Parts: sequence; structure tokens; C-alpha cells
Amino acid sequence: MTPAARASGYLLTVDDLPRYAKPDRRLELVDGHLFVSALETPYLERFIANADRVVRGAARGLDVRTNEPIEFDPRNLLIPDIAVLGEDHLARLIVEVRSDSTERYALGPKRMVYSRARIAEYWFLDPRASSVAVLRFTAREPDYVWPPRYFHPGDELPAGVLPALAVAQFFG
Amino acid sequence: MKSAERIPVERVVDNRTYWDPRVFDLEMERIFAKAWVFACHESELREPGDYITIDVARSPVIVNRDRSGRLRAFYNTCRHRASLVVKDESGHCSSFRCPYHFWVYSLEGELIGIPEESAYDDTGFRKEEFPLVAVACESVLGLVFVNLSPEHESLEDWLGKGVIDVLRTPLENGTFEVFNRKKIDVKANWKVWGENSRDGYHVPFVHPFFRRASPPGEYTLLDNGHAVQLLGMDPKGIEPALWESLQRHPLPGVGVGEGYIVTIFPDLGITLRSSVISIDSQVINGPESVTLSGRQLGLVGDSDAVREDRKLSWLTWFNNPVELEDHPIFEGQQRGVSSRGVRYSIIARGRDTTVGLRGDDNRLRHFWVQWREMMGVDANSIDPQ
Repeated sequence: MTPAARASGYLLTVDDLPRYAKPDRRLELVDGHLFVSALETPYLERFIANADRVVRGAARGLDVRTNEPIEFDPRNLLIPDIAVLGEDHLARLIVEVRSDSTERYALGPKRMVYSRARIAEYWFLDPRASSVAVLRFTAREPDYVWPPRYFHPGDELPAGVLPALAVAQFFG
Repeated sequence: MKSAERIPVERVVDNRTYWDPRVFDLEMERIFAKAWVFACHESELREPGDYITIDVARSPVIVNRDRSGRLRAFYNTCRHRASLVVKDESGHCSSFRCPYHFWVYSLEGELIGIPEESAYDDTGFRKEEFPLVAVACESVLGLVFVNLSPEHESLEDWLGKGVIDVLRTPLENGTFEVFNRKKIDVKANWKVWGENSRDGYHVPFVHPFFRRASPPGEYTLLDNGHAVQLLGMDPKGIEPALWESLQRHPLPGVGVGEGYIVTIFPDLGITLRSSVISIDSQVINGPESVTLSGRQLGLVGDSDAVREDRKLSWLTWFNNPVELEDHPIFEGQQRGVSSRGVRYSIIARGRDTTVGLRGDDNRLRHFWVQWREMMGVDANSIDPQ
């Protein structure tokens, strides 16, 4: 740990991450807290690849990135499964696929970072529950509207950053 | 009381064993924490990352398939503050993340992530020494069992050749998957259903359909409290349109009308009825409360129409008899055994043969032999007088 991190109560910066790197781990930072995850399982890789195809098909003219780190500031770095960037190269839609046994990381600390960065939409896909949680802002709220709206196969995701999409496409 | 005293102790049951918390505590410790307990069918853990959760002897357990495809089981307890790591009954994940302080475990149980890990520097704590605690997990013919005891025989030895050879047909003859689940809450002790599934005496009285449509078959009592009974179907006792459906789609290697029930100690029943298999176990909620948990198996690739036929067979032979006919009996017996004025019930009927047709109380006594052996007592009671 760097002296600066120790001085700030065990908090890290992106410069500290290489010391924790392992080939089979994903490292993310939220407000200087390190969050370690395992790499996706083959099932989740397939699911994310399909979700990526669906999103790319709808995101005409927008830049779609998969599994690429986004550094929000030196203490906040996340690796969303899919990010849709606007012409200003800033993320406008984040898509995360549930990969932990509990959803609290995705809907807790990660949500907080995306919300603070004013990313217009955050979708959380749960492959086994066949659900998409959609988080959006309203004009007067500082955070995404909570609780999220849940959509299932048979529903249509309302237009936002992307045009309206049939939810079933993600779970085919 | 005096009349019961003239009957040998192994032919009476102390009714307190069905509700006394002291008995229940000992059963959890000496039976359920020592025996191989059914967890799930392998089709429920198809992919690396799939998991289910169960309670065994009041301990929460995760059963999962790791990245190499191996089946594993762990206590579902975080090594940090002992919080439940996983709350869902089933799911898929690439890592287990405790919801409390976000400690993260790999699918192999290794502790791979601790927020603010450097706070443990110079405290004596070493992450490598705190994986999820492993539980023994083995599978036979697609049936996944766990065993909490560090000292146990193999699952194959526990089940024995007699059980496994019967189950080979049809489980070895095709690729099976769970296509239906059903749970029924029952206000009764776990042994009530276990005994009922070995009790041929009640069948003609409680199950009128079985009386005319299911002639008794040969039974065999096996080691470790397990047993097998062959089951038949008599078309003369079945309405023709129903029989038309029940005959369809027998499972591979199974003749029309053939079947069996395999009762595996302590609380598992696997029943074949020609076109469908039902695996019935119990979630034990307390001394006087269980949830019967049923899984029905069909073949991978069945059409919807075939599944409908299999489901009708299950409704006919399993669900309706248990839910509509046995369920009130279970709860009525549980209320009855709580009576302060009646200390013993009787399982004295018939001789102690290990083979026969339909059977007498010898099949129940066989269950109690194993109960006594695992409980370490000489009578069907923990404090006989």
C-alpha cells in the first residue's frame, strides 16, 4: 500500500492496482475500496456476448465497449460488462450482468459510481431470473430512481439511450 | 402403558420421538450430520457456476459446480462474521460474494477478495487460511448427496449395490433433467413421511385409487435402512382415457406399468412409475415441521406434449395421493403423537422378513433399526422406561 493510501485509511488509487493483479481476477475500485471478482464463467461469457450483440444492434452510431475499464477518477475504476458511449466519449448506458452470488455489489457500490457520474441509464441483467433492472434518473433526483423497474421476457424496454428493445432478446 | 410393555421394545415407538426437541437435536447431530443427505439432481448444476443451497442438520450448505466441472459443497457461512454467503435457493455466479462485508470466494471456495485487505496486515490473519469450509459431495447416477461428517464411507458404499442396481434402470439409460418441482409444507416430524413411505398397511384404506390400480409388488429390505419395493399398475382399475396416457413414453428400459419406490435412509424416496421419476426429500424446519420437496425427472429433449404426459403420471401416482390423501394423515398423526396420555405407538405387525409382498410393520421396524444404530440407543426412544 502506498503511503498516501495508508494515510487515507487503507484506501487505494488506480496506481495501486497492478500490485494486486492476478490473471484470473478482475479488480475494481470504488472510492478507493478494492473489489475483487473472479472472471466470468463460460455461461456468463456466452450471455454477455449475446447481450453485446443485442446492444450493438440497437446502438447505431454509438460507441459500444465490452469489458473495458472506465476510470472515473483516481479512486474509482470500474469494468462494466458493456458500456455505450456518446459522441463525447462519455458513457451514457452501462449494462452489467449478474455474476456474483449476491446482487448487492452491482446495485450498491457500482450503482453509486455510475449514478454519481450521471450515466443516463444503468441496466442490470440477471440471466437466471430472466430479468432486466433498469435504473434511470428523473430531473429532480440526485440518484437513479429506486427501486429500479424490472422487465422480463415478453416486456419491452422503453426507449432511452437506445430505441425500445424486446427483453426476450437477452434471454433467447 | 402396561399393554405396551408386553411388546418387545423394537416393536413400539416412543411417541415423544416425534416432537421432543431433545430427540430432534440428537437426530440432527447423530443422523443428519453423519448420513449422506440428498442435495439435488445433477441437471440442476449443469454449468460451471451453477449452485443450489440447502440446509443439512440445520447447517446452511452451498452445492455448486466449479470451473473444472467438479461438484463441490461448502458450508454457506462466511469466514469473516459467519453471515450467510448465498441466500437464493439456486442460481449462477462466477464468485460467491458475501452480502455483509463483500468478502469474495471463488467457485472452488478460495477466499479471493477482501475489501480493505491491508487492514489485516500484521494481525496474524492470512487470507489463504480462510476458504469456505468444504463439505463432502458425491454423485451417483446423477443424484447429488452431501455429508457433513469428516469421517464417512463413500456414497456408493452408503447406498449399497442393492439400491444402485435398481436405480440404474432407467437412470443409466438416458439423460435426465428435472422438469417439475413441488413443495408441500407439512406440520409433522420428518419420520412421519419416512415411515409412511414404507407403510403398506395404510394403502388400501387411505388410497382407494392405489387399492384398485396398483397391486403390491415385491419388497427387499437392504443395508443402512434403505429398501426397495416394486410397484405395478393394473389397467382394470384405471379409467381407460387415463390409462391411455399413463402407458405413453415409458422411460428407457422400463416396461409399461413397471415401477418401484426406493426409500433411502433417512428421508429420501425415489419413485419410478413407468414414464416419470419423482425424487422426494424433506426440508426439515423443526421437530414438528417439514417441507416435502419433490423433483420430477424426464428426459432431456422431451417435447412439451411428452412432459404433459409425464406430469399427468406424476399427478396421478404421486402428487394427488400425497397432497390430498396422505397429507391430512401426516398432520393428524403428528397431533396424535403429542398426546400426553399415549406414550407409545405400535409397529408390531408381522414377522421380521426382509423380502415379501406389500409388507407389514417389518418395513417400519427396518427403518427404526437404522435409527437406533445411528442414535446409539437400544429402543425407539432416547429415554425408555
